[in-house]
Amino acid sequence: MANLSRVLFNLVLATAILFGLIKILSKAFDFVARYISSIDKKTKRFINIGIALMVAIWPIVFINQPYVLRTSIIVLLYIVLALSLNIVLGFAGQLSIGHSAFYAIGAYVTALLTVNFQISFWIALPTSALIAALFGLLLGIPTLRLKGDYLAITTIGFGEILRLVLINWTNLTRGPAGIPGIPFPKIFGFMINTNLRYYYLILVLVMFTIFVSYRLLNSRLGRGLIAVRDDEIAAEAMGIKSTYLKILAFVLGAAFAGIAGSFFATYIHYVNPDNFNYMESVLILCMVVLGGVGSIPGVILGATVLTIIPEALRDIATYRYAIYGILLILMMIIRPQGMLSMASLKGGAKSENSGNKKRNKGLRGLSGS
Amino acid sequence: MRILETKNVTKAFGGLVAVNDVDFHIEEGEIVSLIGPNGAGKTTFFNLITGIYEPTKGEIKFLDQFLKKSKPYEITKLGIGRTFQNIRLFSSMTVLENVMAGQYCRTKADLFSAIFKLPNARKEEDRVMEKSLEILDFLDLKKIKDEIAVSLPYGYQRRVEIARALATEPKLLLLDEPAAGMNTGEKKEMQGIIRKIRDKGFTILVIEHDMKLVMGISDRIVVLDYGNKIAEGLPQEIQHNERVIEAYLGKGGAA
Repeated sequence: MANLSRVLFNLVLATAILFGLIKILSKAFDFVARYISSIDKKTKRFINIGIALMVAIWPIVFINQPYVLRTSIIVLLYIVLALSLNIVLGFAGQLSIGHSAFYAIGAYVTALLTVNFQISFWIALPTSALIAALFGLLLGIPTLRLKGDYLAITTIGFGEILRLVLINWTNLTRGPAGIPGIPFPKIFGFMINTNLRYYYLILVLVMFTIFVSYRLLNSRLGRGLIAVRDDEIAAEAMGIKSTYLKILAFVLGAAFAGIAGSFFATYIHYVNPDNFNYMESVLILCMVVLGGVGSIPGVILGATVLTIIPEALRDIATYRYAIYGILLILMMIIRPQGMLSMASLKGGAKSENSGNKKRNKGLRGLSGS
Repeated sequence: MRILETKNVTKAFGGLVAVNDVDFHIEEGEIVSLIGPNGAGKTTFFNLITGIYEPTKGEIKFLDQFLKKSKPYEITKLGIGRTFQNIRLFSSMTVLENVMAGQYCRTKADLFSAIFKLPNARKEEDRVMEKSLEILDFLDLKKIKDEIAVSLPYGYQRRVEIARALATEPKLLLLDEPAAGMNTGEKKEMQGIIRKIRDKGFTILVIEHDMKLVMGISDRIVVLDYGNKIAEGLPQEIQHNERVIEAYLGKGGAA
């Protein structure tokens, strides 16, 4: 009983602290968003180059602190994952909660190919992406006719089925024992075997993901996707083939999750089904929602914050998911658009009220009617 | 030339016949208004033309092509653009982006060329931008092009919807109550806009409740009541048609 009251007390305390934090930080994020939307192209490029340089120098500064390096690598890994879900949830507005399944497929494909067939990582990486994409297609074709909650349930189901297959198909996956001994990637005799090298490898993958996300968003396909997310009926009436675009987003999201999985496998050198459970999907979802659904800088921020917070709060690790839950609920109440929302980055300050409510709709999966 | 023709089009929702045996046609370059009391089946008729519903019976022919089981996006691609009664702008997009989204069906860059901005995608993107700006300019929306569309006043939102529909490069433009909720000044402006669009060579079918607007712009009026076409003719004829007056005011209302 005493234990229970202590737990409750802690949770209430956490809620209060988070409430205050979000309130204060919201102001700061608004300020940042307003600033970003007001600066001109030249300064923007300048800032981007600055950030890129910082990220590039970062591991050299901390070269003697493996803990910082490892954490940075994990942050970058989750940025790829969160951005991959962002293509599905943020751009196309489809709530998928089985995203870790594609992550798992990527990891296992790489593990099996490199361990059993000694195939080079550089072939295994695109193969993982392709196979994850293929599964995305197979899952997407039947399920993307479903809307909102129904799609969410189906994707959860897919994630669980895949995890159970990984556990029970012992001939192929060795079941719960997992696959150890995934080798270091090698490129033209250059071995990627230190944290520093891994950092740059994942950095390249992050850059590629960001590049594809931005280009996609600003292309005709991106406009089509956002149109489908905002209002599917109007989108169809404007000649946009919504089913095709939703499947495209799903496949692309799956492919990038596959890439992340592939990297994970070679970095940790070991995969087992426990790495890809339901909570992993929820964590990725939290990153996207917390950062700002659809907004690329927001999602990057969300992934960074949610990877660093648990590291910083190792002592209360037991409370981790309870705190995520509280955080999500509070965010939905106080700041449903996420930390850095898409609309505010566009400088649509006026629309904040009208826009937000509609965006929430997308999350609840009301993509039509 | 008949741009759109429907024959015996019927749509029943269970026992309720929303549109009953309607024969209708529209000539190229015409402005035709579809009027009728609330619940007469006007919007259902629109939804039949644009493929949101499939007719229970009858056929719809657009430019020598039967629209049977065509999906809404296919019909838009054939050349029917529309606006909605309750505005359905893309809420997270700016005015310009909304209009650019309308150009989707007139572009064809695939994923690969869009992401790597290959020459064809780049050229296409430039064309989309140019065309969208041209449409915005045509409807006097250029100075608000970077505003979030749904944050605009109501009258502007209607205009953005029209701009977006024009961006699909339609041969036939369907306007569902373009002046709903507008004040007299705005209505007058809308009347001007509709005329201006027609003068550019578009064929327009309008659903509208405001009689002044309808009488002012229409070349021809079609009246629906309880899903039946009860009258068709020039504005002056409709004004004096007894069945129409009866439908609107009830029996004895003519006196």
